[in-house]
Amino acid sequence: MSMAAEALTGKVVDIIAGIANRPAAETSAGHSLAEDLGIDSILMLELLARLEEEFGFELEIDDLRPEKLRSVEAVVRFVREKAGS
Amino acid sequence: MIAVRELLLSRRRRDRGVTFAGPEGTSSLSYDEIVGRGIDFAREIGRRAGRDRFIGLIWMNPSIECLIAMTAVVLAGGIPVPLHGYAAAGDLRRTVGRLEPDVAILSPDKLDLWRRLQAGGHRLAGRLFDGASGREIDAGDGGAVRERRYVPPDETCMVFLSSGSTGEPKGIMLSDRNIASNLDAILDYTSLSDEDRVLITKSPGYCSTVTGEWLAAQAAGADATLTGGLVHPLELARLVRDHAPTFLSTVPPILQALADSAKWSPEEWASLRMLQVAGGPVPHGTLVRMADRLPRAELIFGYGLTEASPRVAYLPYGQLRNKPGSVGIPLRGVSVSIVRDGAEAARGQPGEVVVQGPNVMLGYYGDPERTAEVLDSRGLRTRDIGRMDADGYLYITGRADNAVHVGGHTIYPEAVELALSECPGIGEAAVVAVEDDRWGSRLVAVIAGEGSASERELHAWCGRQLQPAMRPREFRFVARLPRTPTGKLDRVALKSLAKENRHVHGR
Repeated sequence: MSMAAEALTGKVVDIIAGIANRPAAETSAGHSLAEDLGIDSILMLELLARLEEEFGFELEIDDLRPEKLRSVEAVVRFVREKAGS
Repeated sequence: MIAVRELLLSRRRRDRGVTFAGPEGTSSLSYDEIVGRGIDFAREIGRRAGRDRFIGLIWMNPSIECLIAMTAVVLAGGIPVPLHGYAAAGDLRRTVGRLEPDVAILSPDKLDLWRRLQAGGHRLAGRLFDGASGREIDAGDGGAVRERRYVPPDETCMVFLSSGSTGEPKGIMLSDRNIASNLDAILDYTSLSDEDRVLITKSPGYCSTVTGEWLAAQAAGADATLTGGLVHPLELARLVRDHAPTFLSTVPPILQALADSAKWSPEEWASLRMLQVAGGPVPHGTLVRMADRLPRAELIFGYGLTEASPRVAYLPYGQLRNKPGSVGIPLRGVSVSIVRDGAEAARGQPGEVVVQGPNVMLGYYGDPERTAEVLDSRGLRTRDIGRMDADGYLYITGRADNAVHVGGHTIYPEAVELALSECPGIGEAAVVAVEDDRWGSRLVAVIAGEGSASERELHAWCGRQLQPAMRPREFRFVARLPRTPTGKLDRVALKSLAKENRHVHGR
């Protein structure tokens, strides 16, 4: 992984961990947002708003698919696509 | 009026049915197939339930199988109790403790948590079924018929759960007549027909989803599309574009988000002829803004509560702009009075909203005291404060108790306080709602005294014990809670405290 990609991953994980109120070190790629981290629909709204702000992209309605946002790694992938496009 | 059981069996349009739209694609079953599978499943359950009028807890994710499970329990003579798919372990434990289900039907992914609770020594249910396959799982508690602490009235058709002020879930017992009459009245004002396509995005654990969407669609012979729930309010915009429904019901925070967003285009919503919204207050400006964006659809604002099966009033589309702030007129067969100091208030004067009609519940499961508090000779006391104008339009202006609206749910701060008080390492806890643009209200917990629990631990505790809408979003730490001279919690002072200390974090 390049340094830029690594930095992006780190930042996304930090944001997710912050929203979930837990240490980033205890948040791993495979964690499910809902089941493992307790991110419910209210927190999801906050998470997406934070990601838009931090990475300067705009969500479109086609982005809002549960499978794109299910796990930590899925969100990292999603942000990489959005921020890169 | 057709009974729920007959309605389920009638299959008015055998060719119509339900489509489940999930992440892995769609699957469809006709009403004919749903009823057929319901009959088969009912035979299995009926053989093993242990008693005729058994209680069947259904803890499943939104799915066609969940509808089949509810159908099966009704057809087998039992009383279905749907629990939200997202219910937390604490909810489940309290619900099971109160309702003593004879049978539980679970989505396969719920089995782990169920077994963990069982291993913790909780008696859960006599018989356990996999809701996906319709087969019995060999992990029930033996299925021995036991004495119930409470036997619901014979006419009970379904029980819906709602959180109460004591932290114990309220089991709202609805009769066949309750549900069927409300369904009839909803069909009357919505004119739902077999030309309609209904999009269902709310949990089948809500009475409004069951009466006003699923059963309404099946009774009308309309096609329905069921989704697994929304991760984001704007997801609804995509679902409407992709599934082209004619009829959709949603809750205030979702409507608010849609009305404020430029990310969807009204042309993509051209299929929609009726958009219903109920479940809490919506600013008049939001309703008008949404109605303006959807000139081809009728936006119908409504009012109800599960205790009324659930719909009480609706605002006819033609009056949306003429009656700002109103929740409308009572449904056919339902009447509403405003009661103040034990007598009917004069027109225009505020008082408690009291509902009479065939939709008023039988009572709360196993709780004659609380039932007596809300059901009296005048009807159902809603604890909502409102007034009626000269034309008979109802306005809701507040609450007689501490309940608040969070994301379409009525939440009692007391119930959240109780759950917090059980958290290890906590002093005193009080919960208050502060206004929130997006969700109506946001819960803030104020923690006082010599506790050791960290903010992180408190969040984690609430995540396990409480369903999402009941979880405090923020915690504040103070030396002591504000109290009135008589020692009661001062909820007004608490609210300013919660707002003031916004950026102060103690631990």
